[in-house]
Order: sequence, then C-alpha cells, then structure tokens
Amino acid sequence: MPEVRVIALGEVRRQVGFSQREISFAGVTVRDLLRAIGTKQGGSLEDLLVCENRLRGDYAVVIEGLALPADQLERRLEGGENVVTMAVIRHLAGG
Amino acid sequence: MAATHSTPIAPSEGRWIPSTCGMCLHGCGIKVQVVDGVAVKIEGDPTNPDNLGKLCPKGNAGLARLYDPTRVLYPMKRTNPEKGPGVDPKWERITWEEAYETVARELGRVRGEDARKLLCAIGDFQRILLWGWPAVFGSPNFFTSLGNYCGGSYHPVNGSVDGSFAAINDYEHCNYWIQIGSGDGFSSHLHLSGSSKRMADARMRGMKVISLDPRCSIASAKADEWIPILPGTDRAFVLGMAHVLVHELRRYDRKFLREHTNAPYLVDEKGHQFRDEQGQALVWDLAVHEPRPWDKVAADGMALEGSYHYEGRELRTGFQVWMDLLESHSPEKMAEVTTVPAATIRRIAREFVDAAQIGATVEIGGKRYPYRPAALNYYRGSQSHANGLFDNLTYKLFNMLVGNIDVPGGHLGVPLDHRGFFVSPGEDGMLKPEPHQLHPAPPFKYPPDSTHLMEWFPIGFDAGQLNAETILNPRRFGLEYQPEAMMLYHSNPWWNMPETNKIEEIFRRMKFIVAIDIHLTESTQWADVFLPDRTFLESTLLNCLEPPVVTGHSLRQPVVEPLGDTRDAYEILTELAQRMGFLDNWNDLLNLVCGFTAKPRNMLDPEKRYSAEELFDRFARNVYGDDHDLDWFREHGHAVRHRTPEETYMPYGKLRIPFYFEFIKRTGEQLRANLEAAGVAGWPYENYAPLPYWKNSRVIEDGRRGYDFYAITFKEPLHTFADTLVMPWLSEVSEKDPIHQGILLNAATGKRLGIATGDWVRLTSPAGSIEGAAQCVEGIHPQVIGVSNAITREFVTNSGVRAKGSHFNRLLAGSLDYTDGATGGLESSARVRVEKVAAAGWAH
Repeated sequence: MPEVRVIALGEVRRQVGFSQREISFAGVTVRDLLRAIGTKQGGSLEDLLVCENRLRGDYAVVIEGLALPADQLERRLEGGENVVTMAVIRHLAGG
Repeated sequence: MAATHSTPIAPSEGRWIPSTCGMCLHGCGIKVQVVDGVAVKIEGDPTNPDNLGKLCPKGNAGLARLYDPTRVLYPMKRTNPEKGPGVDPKWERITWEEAYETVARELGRVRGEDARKLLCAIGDFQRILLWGWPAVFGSPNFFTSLGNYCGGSYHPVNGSVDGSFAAINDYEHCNYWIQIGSGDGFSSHLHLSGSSKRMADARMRGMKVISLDPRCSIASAKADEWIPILPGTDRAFVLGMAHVLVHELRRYDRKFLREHTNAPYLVDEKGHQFRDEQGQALVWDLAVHEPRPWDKVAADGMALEGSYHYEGRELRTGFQVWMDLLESHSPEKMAEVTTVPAATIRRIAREFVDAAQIGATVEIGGKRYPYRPAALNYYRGSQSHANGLFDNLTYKLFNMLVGNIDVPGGHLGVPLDHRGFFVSPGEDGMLKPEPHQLHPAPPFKYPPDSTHLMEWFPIGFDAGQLNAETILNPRRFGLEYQPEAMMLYHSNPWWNMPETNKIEEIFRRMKFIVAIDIHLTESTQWADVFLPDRTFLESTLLNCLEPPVVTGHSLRQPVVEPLGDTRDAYEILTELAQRMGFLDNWNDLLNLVCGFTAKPRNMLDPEKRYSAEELFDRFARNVYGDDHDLDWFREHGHAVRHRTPEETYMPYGKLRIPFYFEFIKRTGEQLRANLEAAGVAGWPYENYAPLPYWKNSRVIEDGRRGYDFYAITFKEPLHTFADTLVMPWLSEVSEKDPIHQGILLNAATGKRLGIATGDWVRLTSPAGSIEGAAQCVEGIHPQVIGVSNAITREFVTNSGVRAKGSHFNRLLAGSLDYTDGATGGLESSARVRVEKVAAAGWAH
C-alpha cells in the first residue's frame, strides 16, 4: 500500500477534517486514494470531487506541483508523493 | 526622532543595516545607516548582484517617505459624510480596535449579502503574496489599472511564448539593440539601477542602440539613433522590417524556426493546425512529399515555407501564412502609417539582420549555444494599445526571424520570480503556454462574477479599465449586482484608471471605503476608515520580482522602530480575515501561493495567526532550506545570485515555442461560442488571431473625427506610478527639467498653431480634456503631444509639492472600443485637439 501525503485546503479541508496527513490506502491510483478518504458528509472524497469519471471542474488535485488533468484519475501514485486537494480558487485576480 | 545632528554624519557612525528598497516594485538591495534610532542615509548594497550598489533617485529619496510629515501614522475615520475631490474628510484619530471593528462590521455585512459587492484595488507589487485576500473574502473584482496600464498584453504574450513574465535583451552579449517605446536600461522598467549599469557597460564595449519613440526620451537621447514615430504604430515599423527580411532579403534563421518553433507545422484552410487522426500536428516531409507527424521528421527535412495540396486540402506552413500576410506590409506602406521613411525601415532591418550573425554559435560555461547578438526590446509605449496582442506578437516574431529568443545576445525571457520560467510540456512537442502567471486562468462564466469581466478574457490580464463600463452599464454585460464597498490597498484607482469622471461616479456610489496605505491620495481621501501601513523601512518581507539577470530574494527588514501607531499590511489583512471568519481560508491561500504545500512541514496551521516575521521565516526556509531562515537573511541581506546560463538560455530545452499561435485562435473560438450561447453580442473577437498584421485601431480612426494630434504620457526614473509624485525631493528635481514643466509640443507645431512656451493650452480627446502650460521643444514628433506623469497629480497633502492639475488619464477612454479584446490591454494613447486658451502670463 503506497503512503502519500495528502494536503487539504479550504472547503476540502473542512470536509475531510484535516489539513495534512500521511495516508496509506488500498490500491494505487488517485481514484483509489480519493475513495479511501472519508468526508463529513458521510461519503468519500471521490464522491465530492469526481463526477462522471472526471475530476469536477470546481476542484483541483495537484500532485508534486502539477495539476492532475480531469480525466486522469487512474494515474498511479508513488509512495511519498505530495497530493494537494482543493476547491479551485475562482476569484483570484490581479495584475 | 530620537536625536538631532547639527553636523554631518560620518559613514562610520551608527550601523548599516542591509535591506531592500521599496520605492518601486523591483526591490534593489540597499543598506541603511541608522544613528541613534534614526535612519539617516540609504545606499545601494554593493554585494547585491542585482543593482550592483547602484540606487536610483527614488531609492535615494526613501528616507523622505519614512519621515514624510504628511504620512498617516494613526488609524483614522472620516467624520464628514460628504465626499468628493477637495472635500475635507474631517479625519478623526481612532483606536485600532475601533478601526478593525468598523471595517470588519461593514465588510462583513457586504460579505454576508454578496461578497462580490466589494471592489478591491491592490497595488502593492512587492507584497504580491497578499493579492489573494479578496479571493478568500469572495470578491473577484480588481478595481485598478495599475498593472494593466503597462503589461496588459505584454505579460500574457511573454508567458505564452516561453513561460516568462517579462523580457529583456541580453545586456552581456547583444551588439545591436532596437529599443521601442521602452526605458529599459535607461530610465524605467526592469530593475533600473543595475540595468543602467549593464546598459552603460554594453555601450562601452560598442553596442549600438536604435530607439523608436514619439518623444526624445532618455533612451532616445542616449541612443546612437532616435527614430521619431507616431504612437501606436511601432508594430507597423516592425512588420515593415519583417517584410524586408522575409520578402526582400530572404534572410531568416531557418534552422531555429524548424527546430525550435512550430513555424513548419501545417495549417489548414480555416487556420487550424492540420492534424492526423491521432491528433498529432503534421509537417510537410520534404523527402516523401506528404504530411507526417512533427516528431517523425527530422527538422531539416521539414518544409518551412510553401503551400501544399493534399487530398483536396489546401495546406500552408505556419511560416508561409505569416509570409503571405507580410506581403502587403512593404516599407512604403508602413511608412505611410508610421511616418518613418521606407528607406529607414529597410536600413534598420538590414543592420539588424547583419548584426544577428545568423548561424553563429558561442560557448558559454562549457556549452555551445546559438549566438544572435541583435535583438528588439520593447515595453509600454510600443504595446499598451488597443491592439496590444498584435504588437507583442509582432515583436516576438520579428526576434524569432533571426532566431534570437532565449539565446546569447538575443531577446531573453525574464521570469516572474525565483521559480524561473514556467516550463511544462504542452501539445505537439510545444512548451505549454502560460498566459496567466499571477493567478489561474479564469473559467468562463455568464453572468460574469467580476466587474472587470475577467471570465471573458481567457488569455488576458485583468482589464481594470472595464470596471467603469460594466458597473455603469450592468445590463449590457449581465452584471447581476452593484458594488457597494471598496478596499484601497496601496492603490490609487481614481488616478490610475482612464475616464476619471466615471471612476469618480463609482467612488460616489460606494457605501463604505477602507484604505490601507501610508498617505492620503486622490483615492484614499474618499475613505471612511484609513488603516495606516508601515513603510518599507519599518516592515518585513522577502522580495524577488521580475529580476532580469539574477534570481533570489532580498530581505526587507525594519531598520527603525515604526513611527506612530501603524501596522504591517499583512497583519492588517490577517486581522480582518480573522474577524470576518475566514482566517483558515486565508492561511490556506498563503500555503498555496507561498509554495508551502510543496513542503508541508512549512504549512501554516489554518486556525493560527502568524506574524509577518513568522510568515517570511517559513517562506525563507521553504525556498532555501532551514539554514537560510529569517535570521540568516537579517544578517546577509539577500540570497541574490546571477542566473546560470542553463537558467537563462532556452531553459525549456527542446520544447518548441509558438510561432503560429493557434491556441489563441482556438481560445477565441471557444469564447465566441460561450458568449454567443449566452446571448452577448458585439464582443471584439478580431484579435484572437494566430498571427499579427497591421490594422488601424480606434485611436487612429479618431484622427478622422478632427482629433489631429496624438497624446502620450511618459515617466522618468524619478517616479513610480503616481506614488512618488507627492514627495517634495523628487518633485523638486522633476520641476527642474523642462519636460516636466508643461505640456510638450514640437516647436514647429507650436509655431504653426501660434502657441509659445508658457501659453495655456487645452487638450481635448473623445474622452475628456485637460489644460496646462505649453512647453515647446524639439524632441517630440510634430504630431504628438507629451504629458509627463510628473505633472499629473491633482491632490497632494505635502506643502512642498505643487498640485499641477493636468491628469493625463482624463484623456483616455476605458471602454471596450479602446481595449484589446483578447488580452484586455488598455489603450494608453489618445487623439486630441489642441487649442490655446490664454497667452503666457494671463490669468486662467
């Protein structure tokens, strides 16, 4: 079972109840990881972040600094990787 | 002050504290002499390789900012409900508790109703980490034109070409430097103090400088040749030169274009990349005479030019498409547009390509690079126009013709900060375009959330000037709400946005305005509550912004005890976030933008308050490791070093850069589909084109409506935006220079119009009018009127500064007609009529 560090920001943090945590999970993919993390609503992070087999447009998963394309939920995770989950910050402006 | 001195202070007295200048955004290394708790002298830090011990006039005047007697040193509230220019707010000192309570209550009420009703004007570039505060508040609105005025089209194009944020020619290796509408190396833009030294050194070794500018700027005056040109037509000059290279001389860097760009990729009849069934971009294989995937053909086997018939399709290479466009841009045609003689366009084009030494290489640091010691540099004057995207693309493509992008001697990308170029692979072997480097690309939305329509500029900057258009015409754009509160954070939108009268109307509509600043301005005098920030000599941050040849942070640290009862802006924003219940989201945002999520042990606890020192201590350790904490920076001042050749020259390796900007075309097509589905008509899509060409802008069209002259504004190294215009030292120096004493017009033009120096004249544009004393000079194009930004402040509190009252932005229009439809870049020149109001010496 790979162990990754999951960082949850903003709304996702409130749903999962932690800011950062080392997580070992059954499986190897991003989808497996999201399925292994429960939320306060009673379901899993997969229920919150995934719709029709794609990452929902208003959420982002960033692995080792690179945003995960919405259709790549089957990406394999390596042990020790850094996974940031968050709602997309829509309102950032400036410049 | 703790002590006074009646005799000069020796350099050996007191102590010298390393820090970072905050008088403009770029942050030169400084050392500050402090005697008996009083800062008495600022000098450039010679250990900092960015500014090499140099300091510009603004930096030298930094003490006057700290000890400005008109600084606001205590929280204040307005007691006069009447607002407006010249109206005394009747400020009353209050406690921080009352100030915070009032602001949190008023903004909290807005947030509870609809957070979008808050307009935020943020202008503190060095504290760019704080720019996300409005987003966590819930407001998308950016109510200022500060960055967009110069970089609205510039930054998105740099990011789209090579993942950089800005650009500069290679001071060290360039031999032939064309400077268009820019003060780089002479008077403004990227890290002026060090850049001036680098420019001077390059001139000493023989580098030639050609300057195009409507006015004989500092760069023009020092250049080998000044070529006066009409504002907004620089692109035509360069298109004319490109025509010469491509159609007359047929001299361009074929190897570079084939190996490092998508110029050989095939384009179909509709302007899209021609792809195979797998979606791979195709090139024309010269060996087999048919299209093949780009990665299956060696670069020298790809057709760079040509039109091809293939299975009933009409295909051209991207390069051929631009060649065809350029055919109609002969020097003679472009001379009609620019007023620059065709012979000059041809001569400069030939000198440029001769100097570029196409095919040459050079070894640097044990590695061999292409060597192209000729480059074209540009900035605001040449591209802050309503067709700014085309302007920027033209200059990039012209440089690409000689293969000089990101190679020694050539035109080099400058990263936003210490992270370097944004490099990740995109489609078809290309570098992924990164037009948005300050925030994620805004997803389309209708009705729009933002008053500046950021959701409708998928490759653009934040078009602050459109606030007036949308807020005053909400139905046209589907805006569902009316803003009612404003936060001013080191920004003066009343001054920096076009069409001042409309901006003033928006100020009048605000039910509550809070200002975080250090002094009163045209904008902050409208505030209900004023929260006094600390100056750069009293506060802490790590700074690294647009460094042209170096990388690494320098520390701003307090050199004296804060004056009065002021607070650091970061701590003000944090306190407000906590009082309004979103401290956790604020810390999360900082975790993201500070890069703490990449090293989670440095992450901020969402529920905890941190001081500025704690924040930047984590930031330092996050970037440089635990042995470079804040104490290390306090001792050493900076971790600035020269960028290595690997970081400077083609840091994206073999990834190709765009020559044919198909993604811009596709982005425009998607936007059109979205807006048409939403029923929005009349949006300007024309600039979503893959290649630039000449077309008239609205400003040029205005000339047919009786506005005979062009008006431009300009600045010198004495000033940063409007910020420093209220400082007596700098104002006094400005006033000694005739170009800052009045409205400039060419002496021959003045004679023709019967206007002499000192006469009072009125300039009238389609948007507004201003008045001032005429200053007849030789160094300006006969059809151009120049208005220095040093004479444009209308409200000053310092008795040592005269309010001169010729606010240039009153002449500018801020509507869509004067905005680049693709980037949101604003038009920074105007057409005007000139009339004499009174002769010199008469009252007016």
